Amino acid sequence: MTSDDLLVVFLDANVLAKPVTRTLVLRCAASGYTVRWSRTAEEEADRHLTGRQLSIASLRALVEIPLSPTAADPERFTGTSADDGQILADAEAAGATFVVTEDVDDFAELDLRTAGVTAVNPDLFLATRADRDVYRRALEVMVSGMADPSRTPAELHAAIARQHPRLFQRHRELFEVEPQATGHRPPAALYHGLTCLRCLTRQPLEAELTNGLCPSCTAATSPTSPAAD
Amino acid sequence: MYPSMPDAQMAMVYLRSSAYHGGMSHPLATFDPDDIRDSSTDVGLPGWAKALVDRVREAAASGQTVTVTAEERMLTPEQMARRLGVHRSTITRKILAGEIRALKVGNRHRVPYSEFQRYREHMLDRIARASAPDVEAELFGDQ
Repeated sequence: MTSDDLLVVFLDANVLAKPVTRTLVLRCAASGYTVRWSRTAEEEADRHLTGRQLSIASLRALVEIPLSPTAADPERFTGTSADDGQILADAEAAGATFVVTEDVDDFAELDLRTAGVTAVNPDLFLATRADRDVYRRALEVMVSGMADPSRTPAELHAAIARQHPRLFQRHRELFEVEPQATGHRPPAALYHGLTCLRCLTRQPLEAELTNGLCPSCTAATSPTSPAAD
Repeated sequence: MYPSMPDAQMAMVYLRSSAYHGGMSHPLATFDPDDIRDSSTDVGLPGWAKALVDRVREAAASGQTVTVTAEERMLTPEQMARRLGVHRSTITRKILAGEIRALKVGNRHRVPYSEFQRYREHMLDRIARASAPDVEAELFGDQ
């Protein structure tokens, strides 16, 4: 990816509604991607927030981010439910390469191919795309805004492992802490689509990808690869 | 491990090629500072480096020489807005208000890439700080 080729990432409502995941994906955009979401996603997310939580609309207004367009023709995605079809259509209208969602399986493979969009779990997305220095900065800033002044980035990093074990492992060397055990069931699917999460090349078949990476990027990240060091 | 570029070199990298006798050169590829910052240790050749190697290889195969130069990149308000996911009018308003430092080229504004990065950090930090109480409640609320 060079020059003005922007990597646009669309957030599903189930990501917007989770403060930890949403904040990490948004703050780590400094790694080189742009985040968008539509009115459909925002309204759905706001419905799931508790009364004391900051609304997504308020957060968006704080930094003057406009909503991405709402697509008019979601019904053409016949293999995906109406609600998720609207999310997929909105992601396509936003020019997104990835839709980051907790429910990757909800998007039909054929519909994703038609839209040219790849669905990816947020933990896998962050573990692949969030640079180390950007992630560290995200931890520092989040801690600085917490009510308890004794919180540390290392403590936050360990706690994030409950929801984002891959992200923790990717940046494990940042702090000498052990991950908190995850209480979540592993997601049924981490990835649906044709675009390599790392180099962004499109593969002819989803089966070519391993954990979202093309054969070339998989080989480069292998522990036995000389390039892995 | 691939070292991070020092801040002084946080600039657009241009890759130019020229035919041996032609004298003319043209851009082969350009890389944003964000593209080349990834210093992760558990991955292989970063995507931007793969692209660079591919371009050099293609140029060499066709008998061209390749020159890599670095210089500060300038963004138009439109380009900056697209990168931040905001309206162009928002960027223009903040330039006029002095919140974003820009240079005048003729009668047009140009924003140095380092200024874009500074403003983006400011914007993303605001998001993270505003969400911090909800993050704290989600992760530590039961303690």
